[in-house]
Amino acid sequence: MRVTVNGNEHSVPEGLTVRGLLDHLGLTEGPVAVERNRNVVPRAEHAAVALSDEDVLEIVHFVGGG
Amino acid sequence: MVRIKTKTTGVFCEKGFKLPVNYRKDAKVLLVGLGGLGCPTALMLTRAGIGELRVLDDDVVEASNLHRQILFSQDDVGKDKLVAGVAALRRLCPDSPTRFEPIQSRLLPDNARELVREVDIVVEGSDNFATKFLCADTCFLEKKPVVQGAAVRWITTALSTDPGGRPCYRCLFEDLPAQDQAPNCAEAGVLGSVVGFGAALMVELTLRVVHGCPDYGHVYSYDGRLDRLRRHKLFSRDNCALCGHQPEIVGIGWSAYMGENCESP
Repeated sequence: MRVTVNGNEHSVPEGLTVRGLLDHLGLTEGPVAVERNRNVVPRAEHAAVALSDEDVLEIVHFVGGG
Repeated sequence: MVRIKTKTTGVFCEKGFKLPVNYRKDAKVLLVGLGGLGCPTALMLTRAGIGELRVLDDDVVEASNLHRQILFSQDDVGKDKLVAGVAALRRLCPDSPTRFEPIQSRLLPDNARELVREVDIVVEGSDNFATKFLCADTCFLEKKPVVQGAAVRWITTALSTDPGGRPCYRCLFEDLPAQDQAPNCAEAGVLGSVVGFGAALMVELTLRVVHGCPDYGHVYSYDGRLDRLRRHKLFSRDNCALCGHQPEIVGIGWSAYMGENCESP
C-alpha cells in the first residue's frame, strides 16, 4: 500500500503499524510524534495502530536537548 | 540596499525594510536556558534591540559546551553562564538598547508562574523535557505566547504557541517520554550548526510575535542529515491534557514533571 510521510509517498507492506513504519523508515533513535490523517496517534498506541492505504502521516522528532 | 546606522532598530538594518506598525521594541522576553539554543537566540534578540531580556540559567560553562554555545570562550570555562553570557552580549552589542536581567535559577514549578507572568513572551531553549513541559504548561495557564526550541544530534524543532490557545505543545508531544527514549545533548551530542539553525528559527518565531504577525501552531523541524526543513500545521487534540475539552493540568505542581524515569527540571 502507499502512504504519504512528511509529504513524500512511500510504498509499505500491508497492515504495517505506526511502530512498524518507524522501523521501516529507520526512525529508531529516539521518540517521535506521529500524526495520522490529522490526528495525533498517542505514543502508547504506536505499536497497535495499523496503517491504511493512502494514509497521510506526519512524523516530528521529539527532542529534548538545547 | 544602503546600510543605515541605527541604534534602536538593529533588526531592521537595511534601508527599505518597512518597520511593522505593531513592532513592540519594548517587549520583555524571558529566555529559558543559555545553552546551545539560548546563546545564539540571546545574541540575535539583543542585536534586534528587543526591550528586555530576562535570562534564566544556573549552569556553569564547560569546555564541552564551546562548540555550540557561541557566547562563551575558553576563558569562560568554570564561570556562570549568566555572568559570561551577559558580558559577551554587552561586548558584542554595545549599541543595543536591550536591558538584561540575569536570573540565576532554573525554571521550576515553584517560580515558573511568577517568572512567566512578568514578561510579554517566553522563549525556551532548555536542555531537558521536564523544563519544556513545565514551560508549555505555565505559559498556557498564564496566557503568554511561548516559543519552544529543541535540538539533538542532527535534528532541531521549533514551535510557537498562542497565549492560552490551541494547538499547544502537549497536543503534539503529549507528556514526558521515558528517559531511556530521550537522549539529551550532553549524552547524544548535537552539531553547533544545527543548534544555530534551531535558534534562528526560534528568533524568527519570536520576532513574528513581537511584530504582531505570529506563526502560532506550526512546528518547524530540520534534519541536518537529510537537509530538510519542514513546516507543518498542528491540529489540536480534543483529549489534550493541557488545552483539551477536559484538561487535567489546571495548576503547576512538581509531580507532573518528575516522570518515573525523568530527571526533575
